[in-house]
Amino acid sequence: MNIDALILGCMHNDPAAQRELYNRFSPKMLPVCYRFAQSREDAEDMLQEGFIKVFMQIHTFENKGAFEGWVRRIIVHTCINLLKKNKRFNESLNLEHANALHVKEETLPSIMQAKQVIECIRLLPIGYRTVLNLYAIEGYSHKEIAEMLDIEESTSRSQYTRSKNMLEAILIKKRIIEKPDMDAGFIASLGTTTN
Amino acid sequence: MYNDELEDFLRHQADDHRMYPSDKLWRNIQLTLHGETRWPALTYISIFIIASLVVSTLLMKPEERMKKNVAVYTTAATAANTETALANRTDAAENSPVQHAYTDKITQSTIEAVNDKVNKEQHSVTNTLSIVHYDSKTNAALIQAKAAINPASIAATVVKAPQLSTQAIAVTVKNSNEELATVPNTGKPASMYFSTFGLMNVSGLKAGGLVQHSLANIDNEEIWRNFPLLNASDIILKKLSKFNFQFYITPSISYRQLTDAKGKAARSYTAIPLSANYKIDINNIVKHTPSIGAEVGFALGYQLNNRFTVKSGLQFNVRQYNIAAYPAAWPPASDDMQPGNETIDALATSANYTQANSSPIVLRNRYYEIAAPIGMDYKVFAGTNGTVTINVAATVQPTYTFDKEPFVITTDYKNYADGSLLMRNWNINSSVEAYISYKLGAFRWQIGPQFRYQHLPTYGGGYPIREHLLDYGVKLGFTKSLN
Repeated sequence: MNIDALILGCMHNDPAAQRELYNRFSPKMLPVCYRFAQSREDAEDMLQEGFIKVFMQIHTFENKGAFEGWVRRIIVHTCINLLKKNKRFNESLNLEHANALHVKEETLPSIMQAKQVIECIRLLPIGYRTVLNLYAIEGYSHKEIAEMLDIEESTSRSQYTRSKNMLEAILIKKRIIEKPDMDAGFIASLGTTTN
Repeated sequence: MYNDELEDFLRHQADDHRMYPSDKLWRNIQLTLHGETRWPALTYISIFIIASLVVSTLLMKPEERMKKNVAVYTTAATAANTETALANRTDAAENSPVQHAYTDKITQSTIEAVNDKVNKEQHSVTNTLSIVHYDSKTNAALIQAKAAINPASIAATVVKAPQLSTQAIAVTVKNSNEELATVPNTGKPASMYFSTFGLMNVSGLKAGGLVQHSLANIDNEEIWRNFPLLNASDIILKKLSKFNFQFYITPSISYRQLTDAKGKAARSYTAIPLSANYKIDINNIVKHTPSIGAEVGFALGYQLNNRFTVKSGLQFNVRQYNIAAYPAAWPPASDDMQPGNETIDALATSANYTQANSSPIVLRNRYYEIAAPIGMDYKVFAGTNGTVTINVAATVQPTYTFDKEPFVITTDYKNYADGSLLMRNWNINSSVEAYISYKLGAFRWQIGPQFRYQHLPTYGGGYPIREHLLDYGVKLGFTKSLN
């Protein structure tokens, strides 16, 4: 069944079409939620909320862009809305300096690289992580991020810069990427513990 | 790896990442979008049982079959086609329930009752077919046909024979009248009379005349061996014995099962931290204990065949369970009692119990119900002579709750409030049971375990916390055939 037929079926509230659509997109959307969430359970709840919104608002889809992009935007907005209810998240957005992270080297040696990278992103403080996800992976501008998170655009930029540096350091420590000229002092500030 | 390179790298890695959600996630989504899946099987089972009852009543009613046979065979008789009539008579005898009759004694009163019945039949048949004139052949054919329909009718025909008297029958009539009169004095079973006079001697008829049996023939044992005894009273008994009456009482223990339909979707809005609010099983939060209840009822059964019986009746239920709660000085916020987005002020303000303090008190939720079970009974095993049987049975029970003052838990799981406004009047229950029965005299006594489940939530109106009642009981009862 092609995507247009699926969308049409979902617009008619057809459970079979809804199930097919869910099966097709949920494996891609769950990682999106997982990058924002604190745990897999939280991510599944975000996904659940997101798909409910997708099915309830599918009649507003105007076929002007990729349907997957439309679904993804709804999922991301759902994640952000749920995160914004979290007090710790709101505090984290105004964090000037993240506390030192205790990152173990090679703690994830056996899993695939994609998952390793995602796990590294998840090591970031929640505010940093959110901005990084939105900007670097989801492709939102700082202006859009500022509107979504109710923060200043400059805050988004600074949060992103810090999160990127922190992630880069983590990736180096995990030996996922190499960057010989990385500031040794910054890496040390991550509070390395060695296995 | 700088700036855009890192972002490209991250995006690429993120795009490659796949995760598969758990199955329950789709169920939750479906539940939110389409509500709870209805169980169409309930409807289908109910329709099937009702349809079975109707069809079996229409198709298997002996009276109707007999009437149909009368029409067929008397038509043949009036056509004066003796051979055809005889052939029909033979077929009829094979197909008739009379074929299954067995030797039994009948009393004079039974004979009179049968004569009465057959007189009416004869009158009806005569009027319908406008038989004005009889010759010996048609009389013989008519008698043969009627014998096939109902062996007792031949006796009546003979008794009333003067109205139909002809040469061929006159002697028979005379003899038979004598025989009838002498039956009580012969010391023979009255049914022998019908048997000897059953005109089952087809060859004799084909030869052109009726075989006349005199009193002397009654002593001829060969006759009893050659012709099956056709006992009219059996026909009547068999027809009525398909119905039975059952009375039962079932002491039971009532449990309840709670589910929160809003599930995680509802609670995820309050997730601080997100993970802390999940995996809450409401059944583990409330403190409820089962209590003793009972069912008392009666049922009318109709035996479809040797193993299956359909039954329906009326039943009174008492179901109850206990809840541990704690007196509270404050009512819960009206928000807590919202089914969906509707505020129910009456419930919110009437709440005066909570689970959050010390010194618990016991609240008792008790429901009084009337139910109309419709079900099927299957005989799994029957011992020698059918004295002991093992059966299984299942019923669907439309139920009306006529007295209810339940305490309902609020959606935040913290308080109890008066839930009578939320409670459904009508519900659907179903039960399954297995029992062993023992026939003692006219009654068949039974005992066995029974499980009953309430399919629709106790509270309607979209209230998200759903309560389903479960009863485990021991059913005691007796059944009596209706004569």
